[in-house]
Amino acid sequence: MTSFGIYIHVPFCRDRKCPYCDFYSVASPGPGLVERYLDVLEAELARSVERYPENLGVGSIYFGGGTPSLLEPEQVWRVYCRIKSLWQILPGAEVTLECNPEDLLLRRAAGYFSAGVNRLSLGCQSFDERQLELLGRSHSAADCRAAVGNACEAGFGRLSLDLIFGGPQSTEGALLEAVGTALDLGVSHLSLYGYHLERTAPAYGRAELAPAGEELYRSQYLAACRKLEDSGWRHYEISNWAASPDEYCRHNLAYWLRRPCLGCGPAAHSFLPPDLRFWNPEDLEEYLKGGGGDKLSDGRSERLDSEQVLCEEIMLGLRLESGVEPAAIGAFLGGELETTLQALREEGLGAVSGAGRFVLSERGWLIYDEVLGRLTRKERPSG
Amino acid sequence: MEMEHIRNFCIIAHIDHGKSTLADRLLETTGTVDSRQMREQVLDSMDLERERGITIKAHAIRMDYTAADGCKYQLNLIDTPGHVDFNYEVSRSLAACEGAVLVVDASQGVQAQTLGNLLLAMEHDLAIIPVINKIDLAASRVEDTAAELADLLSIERGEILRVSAKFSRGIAQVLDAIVARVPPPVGSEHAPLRALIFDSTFDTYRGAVPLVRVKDGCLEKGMKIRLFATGGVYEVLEVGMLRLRPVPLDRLGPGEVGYLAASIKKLRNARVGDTVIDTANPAAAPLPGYREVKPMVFAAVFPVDNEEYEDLKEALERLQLNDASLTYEPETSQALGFGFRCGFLGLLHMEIVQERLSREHDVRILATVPNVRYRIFLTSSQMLELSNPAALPDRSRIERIEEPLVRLRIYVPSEYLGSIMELCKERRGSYREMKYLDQHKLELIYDMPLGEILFDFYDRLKTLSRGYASYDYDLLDYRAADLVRLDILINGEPVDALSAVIHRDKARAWGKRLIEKLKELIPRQLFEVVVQAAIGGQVIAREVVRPLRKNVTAKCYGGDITRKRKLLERQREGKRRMKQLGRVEIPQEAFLAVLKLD
Ligand SMILES: Nc1nc2c(ncn2[C@@H]2O[C@H](COP(=O)(O)OP(=O)(O)O)[C@@H](O)[C@H]2O)c(=O)[nH]1
Ligand code: SF4
Repeated sequence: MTSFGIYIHVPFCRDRKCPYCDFYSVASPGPGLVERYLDVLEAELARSVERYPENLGVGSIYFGGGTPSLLEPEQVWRVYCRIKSLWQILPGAEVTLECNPEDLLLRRAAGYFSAGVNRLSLGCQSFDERQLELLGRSHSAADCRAAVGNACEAGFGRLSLDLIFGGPQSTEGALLEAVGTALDLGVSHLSLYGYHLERTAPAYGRAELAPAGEELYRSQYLAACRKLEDSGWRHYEISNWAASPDEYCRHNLAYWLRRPCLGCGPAAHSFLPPDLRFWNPEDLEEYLKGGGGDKLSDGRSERLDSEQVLCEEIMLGLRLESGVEPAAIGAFLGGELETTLQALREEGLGAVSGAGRFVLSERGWLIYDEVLGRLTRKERPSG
Repeated sequence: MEMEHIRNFCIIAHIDHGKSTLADRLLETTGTVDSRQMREQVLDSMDLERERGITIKAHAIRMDYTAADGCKYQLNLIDTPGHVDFNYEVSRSLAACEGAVLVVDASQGVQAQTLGNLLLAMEHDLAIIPVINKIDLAASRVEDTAAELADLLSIERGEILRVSAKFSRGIAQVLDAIVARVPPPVGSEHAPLRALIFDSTFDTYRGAVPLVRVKDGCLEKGMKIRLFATGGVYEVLEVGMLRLRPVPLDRLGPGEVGYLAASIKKLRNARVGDTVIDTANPAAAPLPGYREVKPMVFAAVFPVDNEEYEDLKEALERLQLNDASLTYEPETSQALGFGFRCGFLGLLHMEIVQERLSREHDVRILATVPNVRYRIFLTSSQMLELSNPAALPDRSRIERIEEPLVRLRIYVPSEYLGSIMELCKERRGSYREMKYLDQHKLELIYDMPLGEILFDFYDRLKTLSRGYASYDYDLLDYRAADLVRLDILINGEPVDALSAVIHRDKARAWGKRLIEKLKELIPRQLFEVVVQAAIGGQVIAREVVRPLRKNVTAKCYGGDITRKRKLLERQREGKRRMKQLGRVEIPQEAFLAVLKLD
């Protein structure tokens, strides 16, 4: 390995959590807490040199959350510098920051740009006011437009928007409009996530916040796929589209392609190919107490066995337009490989590409979990 | 010991009326077991039995008691299994006794098993000592129960003992009544040996250890014995009596109860009801009443995981070592792979075996719905005994089918009579007669196909009578019936494990309900699943499980691939537990769906 990606988890959100979110984050942190967090984060980065030696280059940095745009540009700069002091940041490295639209005033956008960030991922979710309200977001559609404008003005050439489909009381028309707006605004990357409530999410069980029915969910996804395809975009991953291959999110691709990644901050996950995964405690206090200490302690790591590695390759590969080697699936299905792939093809769920790899269709992606489970079903002993 | 100082008795009772508790008190009062040991209910040693409060396998224990007359007596308590599945075993235990303590719960009165076992005890001419238990309970109806018993036994109320086993009240009176009212055994010390095997235990080191009641002659260590029915010849390595543990003795004389060890490898070789004789001085005839027990209920058992076939086989082998009434033979199902068709004495026996397989032997099993054994008379005038519905020959080759018929006795408070009779009619019962047991309680007698009792009859009976009705049955005979095979097809392929033989009049409704249930139980999956019910090759109902339409693709936070993979692993494990039929994945519960139809 010659390069790796760094993920920085920013575990803070604004005053109140979004009702559909069950992800760990701390609402309304005081300035002192953020500073303490940054201190530990720096220490953690410094210690990580043990496993990610200095001669490696950093190919991507991703500030994710939570709400990374709660960090001041100076704070982002501080983290960026720390990374730079430890490793070489490769020329052309992708540095992304997730951003809530309402945070992105021009001076802030410019600040991030100067702090080394060259790609923004904006959590717009929708351009429909009613939908934004139901999702409990604190920004408006106008905020989203303004954020894109500010980002462009600040010099960002690479912009991505997050949209949610299948949300409460959502419609296909509104989703297509949102996609259209994104295209008009000139962003180069889109992520579409299906709305879904975990039992632990605050909105779970509230009728007016219930997800769209399955047929509507499907039609929204497929309509968006069609629209983006018509616009010449690449649907390169189950929920990600880009205007061109240059615009693919390299950091996220590293996850799907099982390349080395270092995750810092609470709940961040790291990977050292071929088989070592480890992660930080989810809890901020616990993380701070640990002081960025040894990550492999406390049972927060796993060594994958060969079956798990294979499972991951299929699980991640099937998310991508490049698909997986049929032989990998064959390791599970044995003699049933041919008939199973054939059956999937007949149902229009996937097919073997020109490159000889098995790739799911968009219909297949709609039931990705089920297909995946079926394709990695344990081989049954013959007889 | 002189025979006149020996008393052999058993305790008969309906479940939960206090048999075990009373037995404990007797052991305690006679100093056979101390109170520390008492904490365990000593007679029931299998967990499973204790949980269910059913003494499944009979055991025996000897007590010494100095009676009111100052004499020392040897009291042998022979425990009897209390369920209709084990009626034959009960009858052998009774044959080893001269008396029976009949325990009736003062708050419940006489129940089915009370009566069933009482009738058996009376057939064996046992002296009956009626005991009303739980007189301490506020809800007890001591006098009503006494009246009921006095009526039933044609005795004076004064002969009925009143006790509280729980609080040790009236226990000495029970012991004295045993001495006074149970006749001593009769037999001849000088006649050739005849000892009745009324139970056997199994021990890994010693093999089968029969429990015997010596009727004539003496059983001694070193003797060469023959078991009459099976013909096996063995040398007696040890004889003894049972306390909490076995206590070796030199000999067992006439009238005595104890065990013998003789390197009998398998339990099947020491059959309940068989007679032990002396090869040197063989008795001419065995003791009466021996019968080969035949399974009445059949179900196929498959390992959940095909890889566990060998484990299942081994577990069944080991189970059979100490459960002689369990039978099994290999069976192959297209749907479920390799397994065994097992024969059981009844439903309870089936449940016990299935539970022991998973609990004691740790094999996860999938059992099909139980069925009876049919007699198929072919046009070629051959007769076929069939215990696997899927193997029913083509209709054109069948002249008639016969099914086992039982005489069913239901004990029910009169207020529920109507609904119970309705149920019996629904279950193809033919009414025989009805008797008033007392003002409120009736005995209803029906002849009914055994097959109709196998599906949730017990549950329905309990529900309809708010738990008050109980039942008991005996095999009567085989009887011709208009039976057909109902097949379930999944995507056009018959699923052998779901086939059932069923009366023509019911097949249609049954099939419909079954596939509705299957539709609920089969999860939506990649491909459409069509479920059909067919009678004699003709489809009568159809349901469709639509293919799955959506999974949710959520964001992957923080590069957490582990979480996704773990979800996948859980899903794969779930899928592994499903059975795959062609393209279709069927969860285990689907195969049990039939049991849950109402
Ligand atoms: N109140 C009361 N409860 C009793 C008495 N005898 C037994 N029991 C309870 O009745 C239940 C069933 O007793 P058990 O001896 O297990 O019944 P078995 O199924 O006939 O062996 C247990 O919960 C006993 O504690 C008694 O004399 N009085
Ligand atoms: S969705 Fe994002 S912004 Fe909203 S609570 Fe969750 S992590 Fe915070």
